[in-house]
Amino acid sequence: MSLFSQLYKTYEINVGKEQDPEQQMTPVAHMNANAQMEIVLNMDGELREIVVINKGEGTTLIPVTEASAGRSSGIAPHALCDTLSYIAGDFENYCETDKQKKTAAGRFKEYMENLKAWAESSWTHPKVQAVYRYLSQRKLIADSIEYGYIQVDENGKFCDKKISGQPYEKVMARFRVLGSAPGQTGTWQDDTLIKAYTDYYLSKQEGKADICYYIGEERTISENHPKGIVAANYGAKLVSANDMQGYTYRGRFQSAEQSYALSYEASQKIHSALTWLVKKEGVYVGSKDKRMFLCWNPENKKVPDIFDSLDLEGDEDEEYTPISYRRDLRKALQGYRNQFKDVDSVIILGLDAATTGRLSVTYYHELAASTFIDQINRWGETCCWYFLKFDKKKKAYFSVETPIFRRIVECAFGCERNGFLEVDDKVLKEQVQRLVKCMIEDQRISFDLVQALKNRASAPMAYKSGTLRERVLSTACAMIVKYHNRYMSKEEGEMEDMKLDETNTDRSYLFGRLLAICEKVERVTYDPGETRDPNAIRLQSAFVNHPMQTWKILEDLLKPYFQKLKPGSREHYRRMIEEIVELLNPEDEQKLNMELSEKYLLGYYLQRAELRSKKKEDQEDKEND
Amino acid sequence: MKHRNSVEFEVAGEYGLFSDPVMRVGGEKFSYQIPTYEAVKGILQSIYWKPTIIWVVDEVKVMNLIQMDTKGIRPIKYFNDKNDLSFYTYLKNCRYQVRAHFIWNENRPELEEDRNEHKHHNIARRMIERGGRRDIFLGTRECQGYVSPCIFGEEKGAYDDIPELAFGMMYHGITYADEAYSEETKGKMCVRLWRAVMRNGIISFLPPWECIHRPIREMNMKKFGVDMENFSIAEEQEVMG
Repeated sequence: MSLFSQLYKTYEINVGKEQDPEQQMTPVAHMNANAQMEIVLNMDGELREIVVINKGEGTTLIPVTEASAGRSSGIAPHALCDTLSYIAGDFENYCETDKQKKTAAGRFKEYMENLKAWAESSWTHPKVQAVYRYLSQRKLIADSIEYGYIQVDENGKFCDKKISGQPYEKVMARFRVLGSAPGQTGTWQDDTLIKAYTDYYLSKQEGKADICYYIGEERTISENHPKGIVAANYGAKLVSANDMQGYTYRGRFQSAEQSYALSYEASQKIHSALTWLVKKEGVYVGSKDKRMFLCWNPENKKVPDIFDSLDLEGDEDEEYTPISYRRDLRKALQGYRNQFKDVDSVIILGLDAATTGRLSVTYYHELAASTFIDQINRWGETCCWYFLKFDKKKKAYFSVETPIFRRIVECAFGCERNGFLEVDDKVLKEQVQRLVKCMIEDQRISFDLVQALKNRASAPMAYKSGTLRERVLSTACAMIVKYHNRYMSKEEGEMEDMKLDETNTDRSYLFGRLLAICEKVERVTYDPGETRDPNAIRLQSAFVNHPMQTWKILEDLLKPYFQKLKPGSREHYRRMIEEIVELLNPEDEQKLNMELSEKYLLGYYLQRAELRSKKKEDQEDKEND
Repeated sequence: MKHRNSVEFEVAGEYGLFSDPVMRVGGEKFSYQIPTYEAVKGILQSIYWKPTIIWVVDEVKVMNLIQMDTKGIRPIKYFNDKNDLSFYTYLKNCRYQVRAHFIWNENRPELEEDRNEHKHHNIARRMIERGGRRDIFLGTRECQGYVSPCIFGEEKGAYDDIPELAFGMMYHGITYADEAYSEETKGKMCVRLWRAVMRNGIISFLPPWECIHRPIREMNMKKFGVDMENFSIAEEQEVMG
């Protein structure tokens, strides 16, 4: 289905459903207003009660007209709920000046005319009739005085007092009509009433009638479509045909009207649904030049946020291993999966303004909800690695997780600034979109991304912050594993187990291991508190480009450090190095010295982790002795 | 349904762009997920066409998974040489099997003698084997396509197991005055709309006269005839030598 058809469907399913005013989609011809007073009637229009609304509970959805929605001065009544000066027939009796009387009279007259028209039309509603009956009695102010909410002075005129901070003529009232379904007694809660007004309003639209391209029937056509869908590009419109000079619609069509027809009803519904979704779930990528991504299900079922870490329930400081991580991930996603039926779909949309004034779709994908969950699961399972984290006590630990898109792009293309990695918005937007596409459409990530990460991870000296170094390294490893997972000869379901593979004879992998050992040998000899970078790290870039050459240099540089080691350790490390060198294919010097592939990072990381854990084991053994 | 003069072929292309008319007017093109009737008819016309016949598309089977790809395009403006930046959303890796037949164009009485069903049917079939007389494109001209003969429905497609997929109200095509079939369409240019549904991977198109019509503007059909001196029948010419 096309984007607009999906949005239309989303509107039809969700209009009037949500009770929380903050989360509601604004139906066509309605808006949110703050009410202070609530008038409770019964079905016959008799007054039951008047209440003052508690602070914070006053947000009310009210039916409006185009004129009343943007009213400033002059007379423009809302359709049902309005201020006392509009709805109270006896308001003028309590006014001081003639001018006030005249205004109030004028307002009431127009309000009642409109309400009468609605009540007598074919889109009438029992609640509307009840309200009309009560207000025709013209005693709202008298009743309010009886309830004690309005005070009058000795002359019987309004005192200069307020209700909930509003002067009397600005007090907004809403209606509740008892006798209808519980939970729907308020006029703003009753979706049959909302629909009745929407249909009534649409029927009154004046304008050219033509066949709407989305509904397929004759409707009033709209020429001007809403803007302000995406806050970041406020003036941009999704549908606009005002270009009379360019290539946009000219050709067979002589005017914009000929080129397409979108009815007022379809346009309002589509844009209303989109604005609601953007406000509720839109994710902005970029800091100044933003692109908006949206991921939703038309039935408004909860969809996991793919831009945030796939939040797994569990302790914040949990040390995930590959197995426990994958297990918890599957469990968390199963929760989402259970709410979807087979036919449910999820739509992912990316919106950006190429030029101010024109909002365009930069990414669109629609897929079955179950497939969507599967893709997230697959991504999380195959693209994960150990990441360095700090617990509440600032102690370091390692846990398996999946890097979020923004982090991946920052590590691959960002520069260090003030301890953070910053990347240009234009790059961030495009690259995040590429990654979204890879995850959703299960495509291979591009090699240039892997290469960029490898280059950054191979130059740790470029980062002042140790945590950033670690993050870049871990992110690189996660993406390398993901890249190779798809096309290695692994069986479906067989995943990287993230353990050191001592039988791996890949040249780069082995050299990575050697690098880790070189680093360890030097670090072991450090005094506590030593922060100097070992030679292995300093020469890492050279190592990647000419491994054999640099290895020889490192061997020389490490001689004094080997001397410092205890004879037992010295033998241990020497043996490890020998074993690895033996696994290296005895090809000619040239081949061995060629640039290392990205796999070296895996060998490096895993060997380093292995050495670290061995040391812990050794320490524990020593303590046990 | 198979007609006496049905043809079947497969068309494939790396990209396809069947633009949604509402989004197109802003300058950004956004493809429908399935081909429009008019686009497939255009492919047929590129394969073989004579003014005597009108192609009618019966069924299209979607073979590959529907995938979209958005590209940033820098088209040149019409009134000056500056670039514009737009995002066009294409379909990727399109492959469709088509079954269609032709009917006579009743608006062309001067071609009555050319209404030889065998002739047109056989030429059409031969041209499909040769990949079409003219260049094939899927929707817009930059989406190159290739045509080859096939047996409709023999090969399994990506959506065969899905009983029904609805696509909502879609643009069907434009009826120009020279292919008019009713009072409503004579002398006018009309846009056609229909509600598209795909069942087990196959889209059964409505024929043009069964769609919802929206007249756009008046259009004159150019008339040809011997007496108008812009038309002559081939056998009248003398063969030289």
